[in-house]
Amino acid sequence: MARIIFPALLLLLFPRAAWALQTHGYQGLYFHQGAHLLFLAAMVAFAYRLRVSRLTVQTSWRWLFRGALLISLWNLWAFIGHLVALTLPQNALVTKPGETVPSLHVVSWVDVAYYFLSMDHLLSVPALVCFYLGLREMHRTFPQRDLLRERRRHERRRVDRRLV
Amino acid sequence: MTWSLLPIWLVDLVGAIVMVVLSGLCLHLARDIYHRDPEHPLANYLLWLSGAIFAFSLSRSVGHIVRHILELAGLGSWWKTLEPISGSINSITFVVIASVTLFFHRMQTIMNRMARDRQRIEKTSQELLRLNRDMETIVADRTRTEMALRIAHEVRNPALIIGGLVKRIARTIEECAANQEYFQKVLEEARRLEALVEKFETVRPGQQLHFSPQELNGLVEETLEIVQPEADDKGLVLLLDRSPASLAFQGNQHLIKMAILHVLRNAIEACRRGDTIQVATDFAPRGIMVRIKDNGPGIPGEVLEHVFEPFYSTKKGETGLGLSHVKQIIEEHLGNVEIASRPEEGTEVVITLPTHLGELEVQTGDTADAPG
Repeated sequence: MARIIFPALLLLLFPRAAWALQTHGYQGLYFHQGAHLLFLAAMVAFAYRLRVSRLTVQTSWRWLFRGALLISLWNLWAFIGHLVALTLPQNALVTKPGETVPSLHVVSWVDVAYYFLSMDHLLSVPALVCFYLGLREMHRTFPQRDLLRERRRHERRRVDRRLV
Repeated sequence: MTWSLLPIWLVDLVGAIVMVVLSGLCLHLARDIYHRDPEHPLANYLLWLSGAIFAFSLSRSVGHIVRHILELAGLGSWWKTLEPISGSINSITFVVIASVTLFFHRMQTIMNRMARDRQRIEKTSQELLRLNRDMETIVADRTRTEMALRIAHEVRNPALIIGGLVKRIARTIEECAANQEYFQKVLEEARRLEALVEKFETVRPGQQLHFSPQELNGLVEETLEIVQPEADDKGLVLLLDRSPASLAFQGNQHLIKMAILHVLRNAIEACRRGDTIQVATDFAPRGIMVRIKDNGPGIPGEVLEHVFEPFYSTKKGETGLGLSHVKQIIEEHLGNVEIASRPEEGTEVVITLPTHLGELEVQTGDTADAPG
């Protein structure tokens, strides 16, 4: 500890540039990748909670569980995709004369990986389909407002009778 | 070798549109669920989750769609300016979804608590309904019995007088055969009246018909569960020394629970913060018993003598039927209840029940015991 504190105190005696405002080179990418990891961890935790609490025995929660797993995979997929994109050579994408859509110059497995990892909607769309199906099932089974009102009225009546 | 990016573009564009549509549908469903019961935690949670997913899909898809449009329009350089903004918004939505999702655990805890409370309320309400039914039956039985006894009492004397007088008259007018026959008929009817009175008098309360095999430990535990929150609120310690053996008896579970509940509530009301109420179940010399003992302020001697008397209460505005009802219930089970108390040392109530009806001798006289 003394090895750290002592030089730190010495810095106060010999000040140099303030370094108060530091620039962040890859800040955007780091933040985005960090957000992907957080999203991934949250979805894995969500799926785990659903599994251990045995909510997955219900159809609606089972769909949400599948959705959470797929979105976790998508996060992993996208996270790796961003990393692979960083390693892609500058001249990998070429637009041939007369064509609007560019092509990928495939020379290594990195290029192949980039090509397939770019199609991340193949995971995110099924994940949202699962979420939609789960919510639709919940919507179907969630008590209607009239039923809720009737149930509350019934409970209130019962309490009143007890009080009498 | 070059691979066209057209498949990637197509998947990206179509996927982006489909994601916006699907997340919009999810949000619509969640809103509908929310409007059905805005106070429901699950409805609130689903609305937040769907809202976050919609924001994520929209920010991501709009970015992708705009990018494709700009690329096709030959304005790819514009995307370089917009890309960090789109990416930042997208990253923020990731964090929002993660935060909402991580809150699921808390939401689930609240939901579980609500479900448990609802079950408990449901159970208590069912027990109260059963108790009401039992009480109604018992009151009806008792009313019938009292009416029969009153009728018997009212009819007995006139019937005996009529019978006696008719016998005397019959002896004096033996000469007239026709009169004799009439008197014999009157005499016969008077005897029937007397027999009817006897039948009325033999009527006994019928509540034993509602008795069934019970287990005292279970009833005591269930009753303690009811009063535990009240004891916690007052800062009292409730202890149970449960008999390891099964304490079976014949009786009415609701009435016995009501009697124990009443004694416990009296103890809770009397005790001060930090006091202890000890409940013990065990075998008694002629049956089984539950002992409720507290180290509260105790009952003064002059009050203790009257605690089992109906309409005696030291509390203003109360009927004073509490402990007299306890005594009545226990005696209907052919058991007995004893109370002992010392000021500033505490009170002990012992309820004894026969394991089989009729085995325990019912004590007569005042059972209140006030040790000096």
